[in-house]
Amino acid sequence: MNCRRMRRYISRDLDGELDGIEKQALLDHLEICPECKQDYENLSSIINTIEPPAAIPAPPYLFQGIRQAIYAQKHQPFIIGWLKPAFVPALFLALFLFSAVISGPLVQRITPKPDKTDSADLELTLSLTVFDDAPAASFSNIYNNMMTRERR
Amino acid sequence: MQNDEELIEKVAEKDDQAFYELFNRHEQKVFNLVYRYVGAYHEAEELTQDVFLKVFNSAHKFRGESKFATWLYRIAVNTCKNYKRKKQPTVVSIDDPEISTALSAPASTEPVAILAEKRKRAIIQQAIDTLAPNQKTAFVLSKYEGFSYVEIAEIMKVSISAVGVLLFRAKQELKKKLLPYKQRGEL
Repeated sequence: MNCRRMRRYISRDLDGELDGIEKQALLDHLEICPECKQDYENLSSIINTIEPPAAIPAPPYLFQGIRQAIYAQKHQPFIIGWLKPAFVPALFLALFLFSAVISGPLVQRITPKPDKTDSADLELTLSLTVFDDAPAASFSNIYNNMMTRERR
Repeated sequence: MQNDEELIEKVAEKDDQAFYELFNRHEQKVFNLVYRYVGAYHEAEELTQDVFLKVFNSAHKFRGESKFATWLYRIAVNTCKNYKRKKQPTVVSIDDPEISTALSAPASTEPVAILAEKRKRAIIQQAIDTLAPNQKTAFVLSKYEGFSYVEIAEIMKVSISAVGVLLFRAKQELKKKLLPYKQRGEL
């Protein structure tokens, strides 16, 4: 029997929870182990010092307070009683919907409008007739051909 | 005479008389359990009302898997633990100047022995209050209320071996905190 197990036995013995065999094992161990014996004496002296506070009478009007609370529960307005359990989920739903409604216009307001210039306008803007006489393989000629195909 | 389990069935049907009967039977024990847990009279009064209000509102949930008293004390213990969790206790210093001044002041009208007893109780109560919540619950139920390991396991909804471990650790902590006072003769 090791001391670690015996210390648990000591605790249970102080609570009156050891059976006959365990109690005898503990007593046998305490006879041969001075450390456990000292531990037992220290622990039992501490625990025996701790006495429960004396029982005191409950206040005489305790039940009246309970009855009032029950009455208040029974007679609260129906709508409050009905709403109470739904209040928090309803609040979250309302917040969610509110944020969804205002976020649309808000996003539109802060998002910059895309440039509406279409490719045709862009082509006209960028058309450079100066490249009309460019050699066939030149980049400017390729560009002109590309623009011509798009126009078609 | 009806037993507790029969009465709680009637309370589930909102029978006020049955509820009052149950209250009468268990009022003192519940109040003292709560008082010993929280250590303050007015808080114990409020919490005891909360406990019985919960019993009234939850009577339909009692399934008879345990004794009514076990179920009731479980509600009481959980109510106390929730209260303690929300409200940090005001820890009175063991070397509270008020106490040591009262002990030394010759003008004090309280006998020294009574003051010494109060100081001793304060030392012990502070040590118990600083235990981990589950250790404190198990210790109070065991030492103050005299419940067995089996009963404590039912109330706390843990295994019997877990109760043994909690109480072992609680005692080790209390020994660590209180042994110096014991050795100085203050306990």
